[in-house]
Amino acid sequence: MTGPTRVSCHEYGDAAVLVDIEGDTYDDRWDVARRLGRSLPDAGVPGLVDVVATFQDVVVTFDPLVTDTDAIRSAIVEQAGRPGASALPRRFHVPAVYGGEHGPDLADVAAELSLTPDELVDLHTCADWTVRFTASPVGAPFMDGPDLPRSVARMREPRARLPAGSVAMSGQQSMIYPAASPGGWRIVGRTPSPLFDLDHEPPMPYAAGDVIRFFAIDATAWDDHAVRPEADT
Amino acid sequence: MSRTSLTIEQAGHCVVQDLGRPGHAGIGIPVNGAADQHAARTANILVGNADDSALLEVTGSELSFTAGDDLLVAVTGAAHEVVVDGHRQPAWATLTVFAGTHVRIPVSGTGYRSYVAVNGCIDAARALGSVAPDHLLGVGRQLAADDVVTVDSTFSTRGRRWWEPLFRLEAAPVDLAGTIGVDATAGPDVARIRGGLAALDASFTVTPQSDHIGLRLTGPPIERATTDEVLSRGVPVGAIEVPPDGGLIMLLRGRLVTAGYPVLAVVTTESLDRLGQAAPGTTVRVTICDLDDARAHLRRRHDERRQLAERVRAALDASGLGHVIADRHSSA
Repeated sequence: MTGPTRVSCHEYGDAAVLVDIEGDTYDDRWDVARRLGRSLPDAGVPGLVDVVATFQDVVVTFDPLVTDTDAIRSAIVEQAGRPGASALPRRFHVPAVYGGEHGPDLADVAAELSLTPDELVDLHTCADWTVRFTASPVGAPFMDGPDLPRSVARMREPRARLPAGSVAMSGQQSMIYPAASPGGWRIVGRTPSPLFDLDHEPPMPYAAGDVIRFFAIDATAWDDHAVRPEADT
Repeated sequence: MSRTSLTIEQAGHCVVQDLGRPGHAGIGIPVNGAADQHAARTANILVGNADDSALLEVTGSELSFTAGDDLLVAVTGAAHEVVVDGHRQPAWATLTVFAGTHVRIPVSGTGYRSYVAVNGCIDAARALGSVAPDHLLGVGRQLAADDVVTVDSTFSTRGRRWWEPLFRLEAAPVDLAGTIGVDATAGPDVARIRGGLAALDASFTVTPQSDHIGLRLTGPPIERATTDEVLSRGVPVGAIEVPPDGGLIMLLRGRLVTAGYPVLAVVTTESLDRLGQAAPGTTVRVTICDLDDARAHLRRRHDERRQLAERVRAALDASGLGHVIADRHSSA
């Protein structure tokens, strides 16, 4: 990116700021968000509690008894101005059973996109999905991938409990629910791969900027694929 | 240190709790922890614990237990009183409970959550440094009848018994009667809501669809001024969201770390404690304040707790019955 990065911080309650990132393109803005998400927590900023970087925004939480908005704003502006060491994205291959009991919304989502279920599976597995950020529940990867003919609508009523590994779509995005949780995204499949494990540091194998490539498996092969994904070497 | 215990008789909805696990929102893990942080910290301070020690959180139900050993106990939050072997004792005060004594914490009718601290360290499994329940992480201890809670305590009566309190240690109770009033500061999406902040100037009622993740409230209709969606982004605890189906959502400490609803205002850190005491059916009113006032209120409450901790330390030292386990009083 050329020129200095411009960010503006808006007050977001007495213990957080919302960082607005100016950039020419979606990717430029996301790149700044991702770099802040990585560098700010390790920058030794007194009173800093949490950094949540998403598609285009960053929310920084702090302890208002230790620091204040001005000090946090200065730290954000300084970090945003630093050139980021851009690590090469790692690639992960993630198995998924599409449709049936594991992907109850596959047929409906395909119909919404004017595709057959098989065509939607092809679309979902034949392109890279870039992890834009990780968030709730427990390290879920939020991903952008191939252009879809139109946006996928959310559930009108969120489901009370989705099984761990549910592969979901909403808008132009995909994500995976690493743990059993409530959720309002549409479920097209499910992966047997455990994605979140507190015995690992960090608990998830992937991070913002990495690439996930799905491949379809048969439900009978579930147990063979129930291993934590490893990055391609 | 000696190992002491209490045996749960009636558990109601009671969990082992602490102040939560801040610092992990970047991997999608909410802070969780006591919904009323002030009450939890104060209960711990009253028994000479570090304010972030594990304690019991009872939600909307009665708790009773029998002390297996002599215990130093304090109850704060919604509870108005503690019944010790049939005798009514005050909440928000340090109580000596002798071995074999029956302790009952009745539902008070105001507020929602009570906190029971015991001098010492309650034995509980930790994840990312905290015992706070988190269903998604699969951690947390919910108590049931006949459970035994073990505590490593410094408190000892040295076998003596007394009938008058040896020291009077009390904190100011928080009045939770009637409407719960909370302060909030303007959020980033005021322009997306018809009428802006004035839309909050009404009474809202907490619905039964509320939990530790957030409160769902009903009230006069609030309309969006724009139809475009907010792209998912980080959201602080206390955010007052306007969902598309009307009503309000006020996020509590179990909230998912990102959301896509417009945020009209954010409840102040100090007022979050009161919000954590709003049971279903409670009326909530929001007053908009500025950030300086919000932080001044928070600072004052923090200073009050520090002074209380000094008094407790002096009393425990003078009595010779125990000592303050740690003087690490974390902030916020």
